Amino acid sequence: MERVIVKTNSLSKHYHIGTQTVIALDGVNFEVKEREFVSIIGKSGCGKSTLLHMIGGLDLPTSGTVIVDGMNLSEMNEEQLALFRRRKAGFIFQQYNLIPDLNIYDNITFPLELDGAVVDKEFIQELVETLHIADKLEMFPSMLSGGEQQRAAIARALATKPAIILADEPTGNLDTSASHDVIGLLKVIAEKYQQTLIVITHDLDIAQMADRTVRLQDGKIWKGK
Amino acid sequence: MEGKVILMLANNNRSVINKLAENTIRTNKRQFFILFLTILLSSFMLFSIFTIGLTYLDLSRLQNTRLYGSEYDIAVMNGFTEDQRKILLNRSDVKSVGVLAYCGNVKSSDSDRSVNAGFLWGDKTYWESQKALAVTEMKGHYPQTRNELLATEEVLEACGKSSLSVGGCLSLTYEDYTGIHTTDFVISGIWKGYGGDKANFYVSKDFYEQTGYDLESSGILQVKFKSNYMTGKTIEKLKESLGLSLTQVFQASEYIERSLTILFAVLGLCFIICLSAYLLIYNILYLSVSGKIRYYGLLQTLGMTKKQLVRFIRKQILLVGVTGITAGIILGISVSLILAPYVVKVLGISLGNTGFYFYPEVLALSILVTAAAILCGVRKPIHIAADVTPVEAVKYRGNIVIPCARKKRQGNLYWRMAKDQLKNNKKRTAVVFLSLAMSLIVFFCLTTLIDSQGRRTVYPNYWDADFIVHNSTQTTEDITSLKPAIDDAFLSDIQKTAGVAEVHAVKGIPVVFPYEEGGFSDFWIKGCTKMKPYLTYSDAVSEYQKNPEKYYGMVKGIDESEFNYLNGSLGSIIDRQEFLSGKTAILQYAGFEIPKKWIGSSISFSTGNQKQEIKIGAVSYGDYYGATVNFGANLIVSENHLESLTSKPYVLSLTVKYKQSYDVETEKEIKNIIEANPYNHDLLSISKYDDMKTIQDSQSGMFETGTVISLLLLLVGMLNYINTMANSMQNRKLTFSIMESVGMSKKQVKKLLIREGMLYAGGSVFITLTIGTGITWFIFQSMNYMKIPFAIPVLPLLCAILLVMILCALTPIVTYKRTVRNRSVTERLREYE
Repeated sequence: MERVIVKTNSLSKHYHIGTQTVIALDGVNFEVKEREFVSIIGKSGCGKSTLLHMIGGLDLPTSGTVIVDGMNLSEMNEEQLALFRRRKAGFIFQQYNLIPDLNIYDNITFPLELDGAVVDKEFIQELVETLHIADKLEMFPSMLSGGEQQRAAIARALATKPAIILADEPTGNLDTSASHDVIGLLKVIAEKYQQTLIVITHDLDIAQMADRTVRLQDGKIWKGK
Repeated sequence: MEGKVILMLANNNRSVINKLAENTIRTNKRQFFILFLTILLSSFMLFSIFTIGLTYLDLSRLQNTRLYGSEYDIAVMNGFTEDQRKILLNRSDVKSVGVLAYCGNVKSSDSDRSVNAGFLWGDKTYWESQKALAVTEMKGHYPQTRNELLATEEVLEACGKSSLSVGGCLSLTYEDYTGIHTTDFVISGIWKGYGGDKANFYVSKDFYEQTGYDLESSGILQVKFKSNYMTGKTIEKLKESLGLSLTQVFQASEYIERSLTILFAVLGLCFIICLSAYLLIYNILYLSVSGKIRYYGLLQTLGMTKKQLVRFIRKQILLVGVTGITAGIILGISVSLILAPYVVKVLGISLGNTGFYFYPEVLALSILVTAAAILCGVRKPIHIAADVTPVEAVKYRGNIVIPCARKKRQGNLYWRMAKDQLKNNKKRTAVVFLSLAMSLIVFFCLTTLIDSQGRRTVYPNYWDADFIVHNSTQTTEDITSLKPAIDDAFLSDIQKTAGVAEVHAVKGIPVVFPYEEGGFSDFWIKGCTKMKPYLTYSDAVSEYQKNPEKYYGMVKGIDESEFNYLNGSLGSIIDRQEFLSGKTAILQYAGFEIPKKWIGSSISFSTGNQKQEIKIGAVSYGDYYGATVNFGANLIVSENHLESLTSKPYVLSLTVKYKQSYDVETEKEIKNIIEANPYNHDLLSISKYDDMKTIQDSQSGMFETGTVISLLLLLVGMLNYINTMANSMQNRKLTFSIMESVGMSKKQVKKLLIREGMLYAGGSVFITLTIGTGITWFIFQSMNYMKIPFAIPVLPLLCAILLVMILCALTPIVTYKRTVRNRSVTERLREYE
């Protein structure tokens, strides 16, 4: 039986905006098994991104726990979380979030270099060829199209061979054809390297490509009427 | 179908734009505060630097006045005609024309048999206008009657009358063109102040007129221009207009000769300061406006026209600009007109007649330069903001510079990224480098100039000695007057003093030059009678023949190294071997110049009863060795030769070098040894430490004022850097958030930022040490009318560099912390979604 790689217990996140408190997540209990491809859908502001950020260690919960690959993120300090993000999680954002000052190759190898690790050049070459950006490595993000930038972002997310890939609306800025290409590639790569993939999307077609779809509503997992 | 035309009718939207502009500033306090601070700092820097700078220039002119003893730019010496005086008085560029004249020398007083002082007369313009700045205290009045004298404490002490006050009497024996007289004088006034004339008495016009001296042959005209800056051409034309005779000497002060260069150097510094202010404002404005492109796009989406948008941006900048300039000027006034004078007062520094004044032109210039920088700086970003389409604006994610494609590189990640950061944003890098380097360069430059005004302003004396003791027991006419005031025990005491490194003794004996018709003594008598109109040649010859020992000279022995020094100064014309073996001598005389025809001829002289002869190897004008007061000439021979002439030569002077220059303890011990000497009243001391103190005293506040400017500039440069980095952090917030999202820890961000800071520091220090040294050298030499050797003030410069490095390393970290605050990566990333 496949083990659970992500587990949240009564996960809540509250934001304070002025005098108001916004409840982004409200006691979410959520599990993802190893090598599973899960899509998360829901309306804007339902807490999808917040949930993904909690799982990726980008933010800490107000209450509850997040356990990823046996590690309780809620108990980690900033340094440990940075190390977790660098080694265990691969992030893909809707805005690509490539570092504008670094060329594509440096962007891809950036998390590895932060770790002081030796760059597996063969693996990177294989990645960029699979993602069709092998000829763009010397260019800077601003020189590439949206699709190319997103593929570069995927390469960066996969470069450290993380256990879990977290994609926050990775196709939000892409056209339909490019969107399917990107998700297809993600799925192929995740299967190839036996990684767990969690994707937030608005696109139901993309959501259907996943092994399982989870819907969030008002900060809670929607279990159907 | 008919096309519809939309008419753009003018409507009054000014109030809504004004309101929006005010609200935008209120809600974006942090960003606008950086802009406000930049404008404030720039106007503050311009106002205070120029105000204090002008005071500094005034003080440096005051120092020159004090060093020269009076305020003048041109001197016409060796006499002048009334026509020449009128020409100068009629010139529109001349402020004052003063007259100064020498009219005799004091030989002795009723309390001291050997006095070395002179009589001077100055007209009203000289004394009340040109000399006034160098006089700090005056008791009594300038001499009005023939028997009145104006004295200083120094000259009274030299006459052995230090207890005299105004109204006191003294008897002086003096020599003028009419003869040698002894007269009773009354002290009409005592003055304190600065100048080489402190060793002289000032006399009345009546007294001057009876001394036999006349202005046409020995008067001095001192000219002060209205302007402090004159071209060489104007000075040259003025000289031509005077139609000077061959004997007249026209001398421009070294300050006025270099005044235009000084002015250009000062203007160059002003330009650097203005440029620094402009670059800073331009950069911050550019970053500030272009950082709000998304917001401006939104306004355009809502229907704001480009014209309205431009007005809106201008309105914001105008509000911040006016507030910033006003605050900067108020701060400038507080620092330069209230705080600086207060500090100067607390420190007890006298600024003479100068001080910290409000200069309206400085205020105008500060406002003008800051406003011009704002106007120029806002043009390009407004252009970008107005030209971007609403759609492009919404996608805008900060000032991302598109670098050229670059191959992957090797090397440490942090250094590589730090270097990229500097390379990718060349404009910001240039501004930071310039701003920091300019502060350091101006600091470097000013500290070099200030430092040179202190110790090195002391004119190097003989062998650059720290202390010189002269045996001044000798009187002019008495060959037997010389006493062994400096004996072996005294010499040994000085040598044994802990801080003394080297002691050098100059020895000599009196000699008589027997009268020989057509010989050297005959030539010498002819020369002397020309200088003493009351003596006839025949009387002088008969007097000389009767008492040749009354006109005695000296033989002085020098060692090999001194010979090298003297021979070098004479153009190495003497054969070394011949001099050292005692075959040749150097004929030295301070009364008048001895023609070179005497070189090669032999001169007879006698020491005691022994008659000697020596060949003249060279002639020299002056009296350097031992500063003796004998009437006759000096023969400089080798040390060994002197010893062959006499077994017991007198020590004429001691030259002492300390292990550590300006060592107060050693100075004190030597002065104690002198005090204990029975001949202490006849031992004349020259101390480099005392000279330095006198000069420092005359500088009164220059050092402190200059230091305030240097530190102010350094501070402003550092604040500029802090401001630029704060702005840079605001603009790079997203990049840091992205880097942290993919696993960069805060510690790693800090490592990167420290390296960036070190590169900024390194670059600025490099510019300072290379270009800065060049600029400093150039400015130093341009203003170096006193010919002071160039030396780098290492310690202050090292401290400034260290300070800049610490600041460069810490600022990015602190500003990053303030930018991030305690917000999570998610929160920071969301700002850009």
